[in-house]
Amino acid sequence: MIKNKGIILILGAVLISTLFGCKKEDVVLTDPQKYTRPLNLALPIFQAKIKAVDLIENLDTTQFIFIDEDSLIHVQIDTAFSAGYEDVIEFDEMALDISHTIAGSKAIEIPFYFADTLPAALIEGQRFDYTTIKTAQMEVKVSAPSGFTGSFKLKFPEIIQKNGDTLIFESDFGQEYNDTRNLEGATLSFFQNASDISSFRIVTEGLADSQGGSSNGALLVSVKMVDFVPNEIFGFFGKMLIIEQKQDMDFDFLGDYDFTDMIDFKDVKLTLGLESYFGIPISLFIDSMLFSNSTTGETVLLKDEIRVGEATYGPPLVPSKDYVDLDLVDAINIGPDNIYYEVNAWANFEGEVLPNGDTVQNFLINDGLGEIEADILIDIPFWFKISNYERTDIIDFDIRDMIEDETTIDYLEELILYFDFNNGFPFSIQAQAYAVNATGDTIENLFDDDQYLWKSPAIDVNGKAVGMENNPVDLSLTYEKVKSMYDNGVKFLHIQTNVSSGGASGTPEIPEFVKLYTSYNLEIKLSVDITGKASTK
Amino acid sequence: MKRTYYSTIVLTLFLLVGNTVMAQNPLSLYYLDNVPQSMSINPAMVPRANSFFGVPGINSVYGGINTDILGPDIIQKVNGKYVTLTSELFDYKPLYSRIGKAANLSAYQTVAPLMFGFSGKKGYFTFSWTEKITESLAIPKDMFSIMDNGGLKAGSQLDLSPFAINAQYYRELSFGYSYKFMSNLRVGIHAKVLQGLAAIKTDINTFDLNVNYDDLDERHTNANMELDGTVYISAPIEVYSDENGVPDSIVTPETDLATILDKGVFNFSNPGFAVDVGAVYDYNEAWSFSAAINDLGFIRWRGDLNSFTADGQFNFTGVSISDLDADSINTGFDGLLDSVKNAVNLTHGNKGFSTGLGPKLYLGAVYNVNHYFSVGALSRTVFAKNDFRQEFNVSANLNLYHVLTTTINYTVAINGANTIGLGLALRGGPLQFYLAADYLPYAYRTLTIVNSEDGGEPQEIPFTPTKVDNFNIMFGLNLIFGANGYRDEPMIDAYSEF
Repeated sequence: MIKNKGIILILGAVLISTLFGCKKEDVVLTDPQKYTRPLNLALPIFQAKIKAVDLIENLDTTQFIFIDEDSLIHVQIDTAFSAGYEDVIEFDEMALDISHTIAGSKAIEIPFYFADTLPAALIEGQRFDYTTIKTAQMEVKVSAPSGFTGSFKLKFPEIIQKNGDTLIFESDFGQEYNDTRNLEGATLSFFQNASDISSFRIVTEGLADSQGGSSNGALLVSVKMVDFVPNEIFGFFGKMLIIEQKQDMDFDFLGDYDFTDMIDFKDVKLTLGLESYFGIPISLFIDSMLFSNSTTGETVLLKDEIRVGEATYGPPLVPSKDYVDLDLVDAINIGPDNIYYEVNAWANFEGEVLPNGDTVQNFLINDGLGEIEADILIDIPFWFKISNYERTDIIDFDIRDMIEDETTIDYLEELILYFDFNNGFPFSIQAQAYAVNATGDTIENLFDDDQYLWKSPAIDVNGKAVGMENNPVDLSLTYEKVKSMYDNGVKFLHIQTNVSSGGASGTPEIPEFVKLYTSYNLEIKLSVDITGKASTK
Repeated sequence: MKRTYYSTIVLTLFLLVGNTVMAQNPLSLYYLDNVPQSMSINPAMVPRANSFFGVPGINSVYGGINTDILGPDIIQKVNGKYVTLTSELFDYKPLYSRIGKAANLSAYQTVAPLMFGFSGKKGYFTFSWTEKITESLAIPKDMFSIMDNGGLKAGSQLDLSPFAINAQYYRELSFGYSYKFMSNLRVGIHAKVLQGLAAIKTDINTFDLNVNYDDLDERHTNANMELDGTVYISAPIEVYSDENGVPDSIVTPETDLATILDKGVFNFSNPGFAVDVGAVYDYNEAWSFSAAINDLGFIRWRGDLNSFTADGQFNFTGVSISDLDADSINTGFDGLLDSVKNAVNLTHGNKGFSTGLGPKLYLGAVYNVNHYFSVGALSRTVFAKNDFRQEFNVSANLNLYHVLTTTINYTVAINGANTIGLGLALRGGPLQFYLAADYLPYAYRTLTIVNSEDGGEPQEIPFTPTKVDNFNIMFGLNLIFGANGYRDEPMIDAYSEF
């Protein structure tokens, strides 16, 4: 038992001495989560292939972009106007209600004859000679006097039905007569009444017997031509204004870029076109086309006109057409932000008898083609020269927000961004990035002076960039530079760029006229290389 | 002929090993021979009692950790200042030397809802129901070298193929029988029915990451990744793939009772089987020898399978963008993951897989100095995939059978920790408490962490081990009936003459 106690005591002593003997030096770890080893990182970041055609698709004004067969990019503003058959001639419902008095007689049937006209032309100075009828219904109602017997005929001498017969309604007296005839395919040779109004006549004739009564009676005739639509119509339709357009439109395809002083466009034109299926001489007048730049106050006013004779009667119907080009270079080079224009089109502007004595004969064919189309097309091909266009973009770059712990900078020796700009666009861009503090003081320049970002490839005689021009650009941020930016509280980057067209081989001071094709690409490659160092703190 | 047998055994072991995460019971338990749980070391061992009943849920609470990352060199003293991995003063060489190709971190948890045993005429029957979770993470050495070098330099060539995640959660129903052949030889077996519940296993053959200079312009670099491997998962998750069959999202299930019952309690889709066999031979009153091979088995995972296989190369020359606006840049970065998945031919499948339990070979000897004091030695060999781990343990054991059993021992792990372990069993009436732990960290210190971003308030962690390689602990409560010996073999008096 004593032996056991001894063993237990020895074991206890060993345990206690072990506990105290194994107590090691206390450890204080300060900021173990903070990574303070020198950074060393070399990685590709991105490679971008920016295609001109993609840039165009991203524009807000895509609807104005036109790519021609050579893939040259144009801005085109196309405005069209049209006038149709109904803008020239107009027919209301033609109706006539007449009461004819027919004599009563106790002994014999007495003939009666009445002639009336129903006017068709509504517009003064408009004369119709002949028409083929596309659709029409002639509704006739005749009511004989009470107690009369006999018969009547209602003739329309100017209307020849499809079968070649004159349109006639006839019946014996009796109950009220009602009839309707379809006049599709019929012809109407207008009768010019005493007032030279194009009309057609209604002749009412017949025999009447009062059956012993001696008093006169009233023969009531009601004529109505409904749904009248001519197919072809001939005559002289008068001098009339058939298109009257005024438009005030913003012209902002250049966006916020104030290129005015630096950009010169070439081969900009306005095409005024007119195509007429009317058998009518048409005159189209641009009474006013005013390009204005609200910033500079500059304006350019253009006027012009175009006239076409009547279309050639067919079949086939051959339209008359013509166009005229206006040079818009001066108008576009003021950098317009607004275009205002007034356009009018006249039919028979010179009247029925031309100055040379010829008489004008008009016709219209109502077949869906019989329209006038006027078109104003402003075409601005991207063929231009830009000279030292300079702009500054400001980017928020609060370095103290980005680097929360100042000591992080101590582990940086140098950060280099390696850019490769492989440029197929016909521009050279010089850039400088200024690191600026809150009061606008420049703390550091990030690029070398006169650093090119892109260099233009060679430009051929047609203004097209040939091939690609590679330009490596290294942006080095040394410890000293980053420290200076941090210490001075850099808040913004002012990116100043200077763009010139062409200027291959680093001569942007001699800009060239260049064309912008959809086939151009810009390839950008960026890698980063960070070299760290042990902190000095 | 002997050599043929030996080769066959070794080959069989390796086949059964597969990818395993190996829970290991404390070696200290071996010397607590009146604790029923000692039979988990050797199935032939039985408690010196007619019967026992483990208190449900707390009869075998086990936790363990095994790592080579928390060694003494994870915190270094340089110029009087303590530093760790993130510091520029930290020297990575000792860490590299310790971890080899990969740093390993494994953890194990076990709990037994039910356990009991009783002696028959000659044999001893036992049953246990145990829930086991094992997890293992291997972090490639080259991941540390990224931290060491401050990133990826041009010319970096990283081998990340040692990266591995292996984990499994399974249920073990063990039916044991220990039979006394002769007066001095007892053999035992545990037949274990396994019910796999969830598992993840990685099998990565190649995972290289190189950063090279551009052939045409050394100002630029490109990063090349080559990947060949498969991740196997058996778990109630749903994987959605894009129109090309490339997986793009994973959805975890609802945690409602029906799902828990279906996917947990009554999930019989991942069956497994394992055996422990062992023998104890009492050479004479003084010497006793034992041998056991445990956890010889596997689980075949068949249910809720998802496998992700990659075999290809991805060459990164920068994010591809078509414009310099934010949308295009975001689209470029969003598409990067898809590009990687396509380049490495990532595919989703439903491949089944197997996991082993990690067979262990125990060889032990005890020399009884007298009836209450003994010394012992125990060897444990743990077989892993293409590898094995060897531990040797020596002990001094005090066995006052009525009340107290203790052991103090020392373990030497080849290429691992060398430190002491303790075991203790206390009994009052039928209630027995036991505790066994290996690799007790004997050197400790107070660790104070100062985080200047949090105002510099120091956080003190007292009794922080100076290093942790292995540590495991098991404790529990049992009810012991007839604790003075078996029905046919009364307990000797501990205080009688030897």
